Amino acid sequence: MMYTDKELKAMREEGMLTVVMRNAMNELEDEFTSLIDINAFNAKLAKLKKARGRSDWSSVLAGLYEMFRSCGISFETGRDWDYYAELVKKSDIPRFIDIEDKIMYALYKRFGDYPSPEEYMKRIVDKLSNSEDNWQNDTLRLRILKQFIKYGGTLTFKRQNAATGKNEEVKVYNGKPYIVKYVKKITGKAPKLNDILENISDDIFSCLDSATKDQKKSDGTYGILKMADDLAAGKFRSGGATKRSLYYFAMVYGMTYFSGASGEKRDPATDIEKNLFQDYYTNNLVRFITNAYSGKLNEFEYDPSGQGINYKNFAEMVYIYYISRNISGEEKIKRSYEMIERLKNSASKPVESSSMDTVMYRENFFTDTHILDHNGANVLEYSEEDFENFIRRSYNCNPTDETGAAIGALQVENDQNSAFAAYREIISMLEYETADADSCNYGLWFTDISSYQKDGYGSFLKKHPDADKERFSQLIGLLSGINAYLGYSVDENVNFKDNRSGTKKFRLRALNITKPSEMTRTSIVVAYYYFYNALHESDDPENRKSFSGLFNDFKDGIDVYLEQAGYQEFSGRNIFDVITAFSAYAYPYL
Amino acid sequence: MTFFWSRAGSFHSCQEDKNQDRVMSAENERFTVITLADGASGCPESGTGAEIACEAVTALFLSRAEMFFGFNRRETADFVLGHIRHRIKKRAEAENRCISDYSSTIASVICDSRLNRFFYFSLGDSLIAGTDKSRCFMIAMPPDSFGGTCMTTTENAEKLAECGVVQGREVDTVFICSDGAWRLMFERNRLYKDMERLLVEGDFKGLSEAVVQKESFDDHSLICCDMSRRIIA
Repeated sequence: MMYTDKELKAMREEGMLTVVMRNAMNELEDEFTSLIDINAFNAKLAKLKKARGRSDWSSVLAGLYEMFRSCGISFETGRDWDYYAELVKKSDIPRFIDIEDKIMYALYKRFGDYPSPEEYMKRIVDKLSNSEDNWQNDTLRLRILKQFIKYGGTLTFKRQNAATGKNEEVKVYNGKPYIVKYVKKITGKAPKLNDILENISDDIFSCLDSATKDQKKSDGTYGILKMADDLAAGKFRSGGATKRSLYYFAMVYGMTYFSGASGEKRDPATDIEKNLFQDYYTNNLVRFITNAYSGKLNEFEYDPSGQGINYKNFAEMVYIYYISRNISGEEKIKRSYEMIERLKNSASKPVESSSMDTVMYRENFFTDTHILDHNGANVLEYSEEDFENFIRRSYNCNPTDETGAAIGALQVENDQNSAFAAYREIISMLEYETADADSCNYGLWFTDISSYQKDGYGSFLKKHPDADKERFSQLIGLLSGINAYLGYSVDENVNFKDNRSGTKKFRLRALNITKPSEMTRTSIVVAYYYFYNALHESDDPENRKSFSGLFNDFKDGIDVYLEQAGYQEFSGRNIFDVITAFSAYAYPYL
Repeated sequence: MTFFWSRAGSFHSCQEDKNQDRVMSAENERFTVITLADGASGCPESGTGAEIACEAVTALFLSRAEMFFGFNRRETADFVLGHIRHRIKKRAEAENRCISDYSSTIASVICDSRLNRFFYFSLGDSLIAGTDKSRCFMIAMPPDSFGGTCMTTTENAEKLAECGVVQGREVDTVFICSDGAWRLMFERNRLYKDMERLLVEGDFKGLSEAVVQKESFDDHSLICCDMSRRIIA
């Protein structure tokens, strides 16, 4: 294990030279683990009493020890039932209802540990930047812009028009004329690449403040600036715009794709799936409390599917092919753009139906071991010509929807049939477990967010004088965001009641997905949350699980469906997952 | 049969510090255990810590090999790390040191020749991989090191330990590389073609010679178990 001089210096300065990683995953999940109420202890004591003289005495006792440890209660091992009953009685163990405040305080303390999309992006840029460029002190959006200019050729290139034979400039993203003009104003001469890199500052983005919608489009005057700004702030646009910019980002930063081919490993620093599609471009609810999103929710993609790479989409396969090639970022962008254009122009629909499962589709060509065609050759090692023919033969490259209207290349074959099948299975189980699935709308169960919104934060701040009002307000914003996916807010509830008094009920959006194209990871988590609660509603209190026990149980159950759907597994690193699991933990007891 | 190399990188060979990587193997009639521990450079007793971890895990895995094939991830992690830490703690107390002075990564594989399967355990940034007759495949890959690398002495390290069982496939060799070694063998996320060929051919001696040609700042080690007895070393 090796550290750079810089890392060692920093560790020395922090007095942690010998502590390589002080604590792994010390997250909210751990805070919740210690929140055990008196009912849980009483249930465990009752179980222990029944186990007297039986073979399961030791295992029940071990569970009780674990609970004492989690709560920081000192105890002696190997004592009889009366000792432990007395210890529980003497200890100041809260009722679950009293725990709400503790939960809110734990959330308040720890929610800042969960990175926002912007922080994830900064990590990626820090890891993948060439230190010789010396742009570390620039703002994040400026660093991204400079990277595109230096390694992506400002996303414009010249090519010969096949029909006219004339050279023409292709603008993958527009913005070069504006950047040139901006620098020319400073230097007084037509700038070269180095002049541009040396003279642009964050001020160049000020044009976006007053820009029109058209100017901010990819082919608009400020297209490339807007793209860099969106990527830096984690602003997700719908219609494939964000995905396209992520692939170009991966190209200019030299990211890698792990295909599982012989001699290939997943590189955590450069892997596109992990870094861009799992950490960054996912339904990371922390974005709701960032400046970029505050008050502008309707401008952005509300619930990114969480799908990651769509293996049914021809354009994404082209991007992956070029990301895997050992050529410059500029060439990757140019060649992928041109191949996609050629494929679009010569498109005819292939034999494979769009109802084919995404997972099956991937396995046809992208097996779980490596990317193979029908003859066993790795398609990522094909020549460009062979790869293009392979895609033309095997994929739908026709960018129109079922009505014949034009759509973007990244919108082709956008259905998520595997995810939809997994989701339908959960909904069937939910409908089996509960007579009235339409009433599954109660949202977060451990606290009433609307009461904080209505009555203010006085009671919390009074109990915790060290708490900062602004920060607590951010937490409430975050929980409101989570609650908006899980249930109805107060205002919506009024509507809901009106509807109930009429003839029609309506379901939560997440429980009412009707098309594979609408699938999101969040919907699977929400559907499973209501199923899990219904399934365990009548569990024997003696068998109550600790929070970590429930988290693992919930995870084991839902991961089967998330994996089938091709989504990221249920994780303690995702604040939505942790809070949803905690709400399921609270559900039977409040 | 096992094969290994372990060399100090230029950072250590020009200083008084010695190679802080440790490799170890042990076998009985049925099982072979290979283990690699990589001591953390900044820790004063990391070489000793790596040795303790190597010895503890190798002995534990060989004596209770069959049991680990039935364990789940968390049970294994708790058990293995508890075992290592107990030994580190005893040494630290005897030498009046802090346990984090003995930090190292740990990776180990139990190869079961009778049932043609193997169990692997990894904590930290070592790489465990295998070969069959045509290809080299990854088994446990180094995780994201953002925030540091997880070590035997890291609190809650149990959560980040990786382990599992691989069975039902023809495997010729299983090997473990320290981060210093795999960095010399990979260009970004791909093995150099010549090194991949040497691995698939089982020519570990050739691989060792190819690796030594490269300048390495860090210590680099590799240990391999030949499950098909066709290794060239």
